[in-house]
Amino acid sequence: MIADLAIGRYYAAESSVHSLDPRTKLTAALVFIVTLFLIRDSLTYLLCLAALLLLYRISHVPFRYLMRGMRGIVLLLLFTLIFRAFFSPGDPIWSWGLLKLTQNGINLAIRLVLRISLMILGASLLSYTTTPRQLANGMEQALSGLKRFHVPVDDIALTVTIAFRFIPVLNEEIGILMDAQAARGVDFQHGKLPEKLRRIPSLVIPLFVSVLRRSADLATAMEARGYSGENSCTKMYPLLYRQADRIAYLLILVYAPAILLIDRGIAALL
Amino acid sequence: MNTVQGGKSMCLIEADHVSFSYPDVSRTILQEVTFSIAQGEFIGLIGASGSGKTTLVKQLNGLLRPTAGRILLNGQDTGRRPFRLAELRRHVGLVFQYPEHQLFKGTVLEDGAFGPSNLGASPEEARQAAREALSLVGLGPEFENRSPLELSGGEMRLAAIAGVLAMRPELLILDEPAAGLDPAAKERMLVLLRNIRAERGTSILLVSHSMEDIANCTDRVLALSGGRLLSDASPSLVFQQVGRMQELGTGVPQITAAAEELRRRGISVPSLPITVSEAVNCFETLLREDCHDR
Repeated sequence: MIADLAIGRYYAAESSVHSLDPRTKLTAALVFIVTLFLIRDSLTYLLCLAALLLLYRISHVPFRYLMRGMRGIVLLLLFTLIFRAFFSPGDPIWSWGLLKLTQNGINLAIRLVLRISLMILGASLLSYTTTPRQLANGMEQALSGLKRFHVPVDDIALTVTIAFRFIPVLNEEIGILMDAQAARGVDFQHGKLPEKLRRIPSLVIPLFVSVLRRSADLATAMEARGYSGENSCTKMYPLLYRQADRIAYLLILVYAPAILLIDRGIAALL
Repeated sequence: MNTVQGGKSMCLIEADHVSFSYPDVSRTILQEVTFSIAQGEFIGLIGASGSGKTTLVKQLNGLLRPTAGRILLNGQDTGRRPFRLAELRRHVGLVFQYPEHQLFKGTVLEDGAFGPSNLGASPEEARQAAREALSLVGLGPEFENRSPLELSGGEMRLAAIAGVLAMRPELLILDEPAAGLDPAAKERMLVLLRNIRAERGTSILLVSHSMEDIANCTDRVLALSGGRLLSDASPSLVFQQVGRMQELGTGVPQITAAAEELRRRGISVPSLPITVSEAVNCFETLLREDCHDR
């Protein structure tokens, strides 16, 4: 249940995508998502999907992981589809009371659903192939320019890294607390929604107490090892661009204009 | 509802060839563990880290179900309908390591009443049960309305144990209840466990890495290694096998190790003492014999 959490679900494998620099992958994900917003015709999304599937193939992430990422947003997609299809302006094809099904609405709905799905799939690939630590590292490097404007980039990156690092710890802690409260007669498996809601405090309150205690301990331990927050830490493995990254940047550079040109072409043809 | 009171040897809970492994993991965590606990017994459970102690304890109160074998409560198979798991939890109280981390209600009294009210007691009954449990662990009425989070570490642990005692279990299982306490508080904890047994006739299963505590308190020791039950005997018998216990990773009480060392140096120690008072008697006899010989 908690294992399906959307963050930090890294899929360990040896692939050329895994070994890319996190900054390259961040840029690629960003460009991919931005192009999704600039595309006008739904057919072009099929091209994006093809490109994405190819990347999944290269990265050795199994296709069932692709579906797993989608499972969480099925409701959102369904809601978007219905809401857009029936409540968009235009000439109604079919109507019933307030509900108006329009051609414009259908097109819009399909486009939005495709766009959201592709965004999620793209972002999922990033998290499948990049460990949270690499990701935080990459963001820190990419944002280091902001230091000039007194943005505490190092601190933010450290906070993010620690947050990721504590997910499995807290996950385990919830397991222990559930056992402890179950031993005191709480039945977590059965019951209706109101009963389930009443059980939440028995987990959330001790969890909060423990998070506060842990963070105080961690802060003390960091200070004891000389962390002051003033000098930035050096990296054990500094990020380095390799040949593969250069090729990847080149592909990104080609991908975006190519997709947009094809999109305009399709739009002109139809 | 209980079976006939058959004297001291009546079985409260039995593990019958209990095996356990997690799905998708090939390693078996428990293998064919069989033992029984009678009413009023004080039992020690020892074993190195990863030997399956915690898993075994969770079987006894139904948090995990055996993949093979049975857990019997008063002779009834707990895995078969119409037996309900809630019934097992009512009879078997489980105090985890660092139980103070599970406290969450606004007052000590309300937290103590949480368990009984989950078992269906009315608020007044639950509070009464909590009051009794709190006084049993030595937290007087002045603690009732304080927040559990503002107590000292030792008091928090007592309050958490009271929360389980309030459910009036017939078997109380405690996983390292003295971990992290200072020596005096640790001693008080062991006295408390003896009192609980004396006042309520509760059977107690103590999981501990301190062989001294096991030697001082228990009538019987279960030793686990790699998920198998290797010994089920009195502590004085179990701790005679010093070499074997060291291989197991639990060791023996220090005083026993000292006596064993004396024996190795050629002094004839008839039977290894396991507690300080036994050791004093043993050494006194040896010394007097020695003087006598001279």
